[in-house]
Amino acid sequence: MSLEQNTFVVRGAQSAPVELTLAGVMSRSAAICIDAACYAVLLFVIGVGGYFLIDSLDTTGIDESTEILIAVLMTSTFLLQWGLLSIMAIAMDGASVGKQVFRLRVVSRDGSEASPFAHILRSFLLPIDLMVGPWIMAFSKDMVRLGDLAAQTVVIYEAPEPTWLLTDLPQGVTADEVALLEAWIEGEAALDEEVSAELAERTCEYFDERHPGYLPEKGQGASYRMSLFADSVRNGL
Amino acid sequence: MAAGLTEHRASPERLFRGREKVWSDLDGLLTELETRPESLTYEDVQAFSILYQAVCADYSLAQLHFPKLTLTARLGRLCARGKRQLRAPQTSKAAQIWQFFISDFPRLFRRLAGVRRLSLGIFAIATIFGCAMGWSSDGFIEMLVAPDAIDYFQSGNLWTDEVSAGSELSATLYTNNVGVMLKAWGAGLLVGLGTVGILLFNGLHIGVVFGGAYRYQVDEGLVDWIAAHGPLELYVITVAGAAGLWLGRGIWVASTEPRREVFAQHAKESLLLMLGAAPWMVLAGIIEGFISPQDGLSTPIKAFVGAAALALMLGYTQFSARGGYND
Repeated sequence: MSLEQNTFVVRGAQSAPVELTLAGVMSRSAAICIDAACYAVLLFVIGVGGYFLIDSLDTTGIDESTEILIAVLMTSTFLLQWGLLSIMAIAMDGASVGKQVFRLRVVSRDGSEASPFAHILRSFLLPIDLMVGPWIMAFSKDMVRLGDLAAQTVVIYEAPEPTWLLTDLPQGVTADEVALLEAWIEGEAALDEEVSAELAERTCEYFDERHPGYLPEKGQGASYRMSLFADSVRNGL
Repeated sequence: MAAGLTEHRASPERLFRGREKVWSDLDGLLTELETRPESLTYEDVQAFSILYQAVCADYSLAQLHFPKLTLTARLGRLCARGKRQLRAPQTSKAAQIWQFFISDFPRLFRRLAGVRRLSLGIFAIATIFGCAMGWSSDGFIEMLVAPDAIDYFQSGNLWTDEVSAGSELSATLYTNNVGVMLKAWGAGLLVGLGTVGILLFNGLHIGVVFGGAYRYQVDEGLVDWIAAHGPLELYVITVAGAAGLWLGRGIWVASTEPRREVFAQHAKESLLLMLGAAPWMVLAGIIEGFISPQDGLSTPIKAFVGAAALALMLGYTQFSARGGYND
């Protein structure tokens, strides 16, 4: 596996290098905080629910039922403490509530889905990682904590799917020209009005010469034409 | 060739003309795989194989010529999603758990016989030493058991006399004991020394209690309490210790393989050993909660229950899934 900046490269079919983006310490820490909050909420619900149940049972004097209920509550609390993260990761294919919020996911080092035992191993080592994990991650090339080392996993960031895609391309268009159009669609809203007008003018001039008929409404204002083009691409998907 | 490639002003349109359908077909298949894998047919799986290879080839070209385009990023995501599905488990999670208990755990248990014996030996030596310490001096009892334990001994009683059988006691015990198992395992990260410390401490503790009870002649009551659950519980503690020692071994053992892989293999096996032993600790807790406190059951009956529980575990681990290559 090779590493470049915060990317992690795995091999797809025909050894195609597939780049995965590694999740950083801050996003992972924030995800853990959200998971801890979920744990606290569940614990509170179990505790309060159990209290009212026991209270109602006690008023009717059913001691054996109270004992069984207490036993169930204790077991549930124990399983929650040690098993919540594992259960979430197995059920949510390598994610948890916190990880879903930040679009993180646990995968094996070869990019495939991590096994249930890998998730259990990671979660059981979390108490130790809360102390030493950040240090190990800071000195690790691929941002792994102790649990990741043991389970042979990495945590990746899954970027959201693009809401638009430029697929209708003119014949002979180059990569740089496509990049120019994509940059326009991506960033036109943030441009200053004067700058936007000038860029639109230049872009329309260039494309009318190189790829006549590609940009819509020739003869209209450049800003209007570029906005129309951007809207048509955005609405295309 | 490489120079020619870098100079060639490849056109995205030329390279990817007509490929949109391939990409969207793979996208659709992946969505089905991720949400309803049981709905896929044999033909779908064949199609996935072909489509995935085709998209990976397109992605390789896109990365080489147009690494910064949105289209390239989209193809990369398709490849990453496909890769995640390639080695996804084919059996249900329930079947995997069944396979683990029927076959994988017993075989692993037998394979790690050496480290189990080491763990048992450490615990046994500490227990014997603790017995001697508890028999010889009250100071050790106060230090290792509890300050008021001697008061109980001197009154001819045990603190277990005040315990009544039930679900609550059982749950308290088995959750505590499984927690001890997890700590014994996790302590193995200290190159195994943490686990050795926990085994020594627990052995000394048990030994001092026995030594003190013998000295104050309340040992019969202690044997009565411990007979039903003690053999199984103490044995499972040593198995957890073995798991911790095995975890620590992954850090120090010399090997020609990369340290990361050796550690990961040991970590996986140690966790599996502990997970397989944990249900037996729950059983020991249930016995301790319901049978041990029963005054109506005689010591020989409790001892029979204890021996039977331990024999059941040993029989299961020694005879299940026999006949494999490693057996």
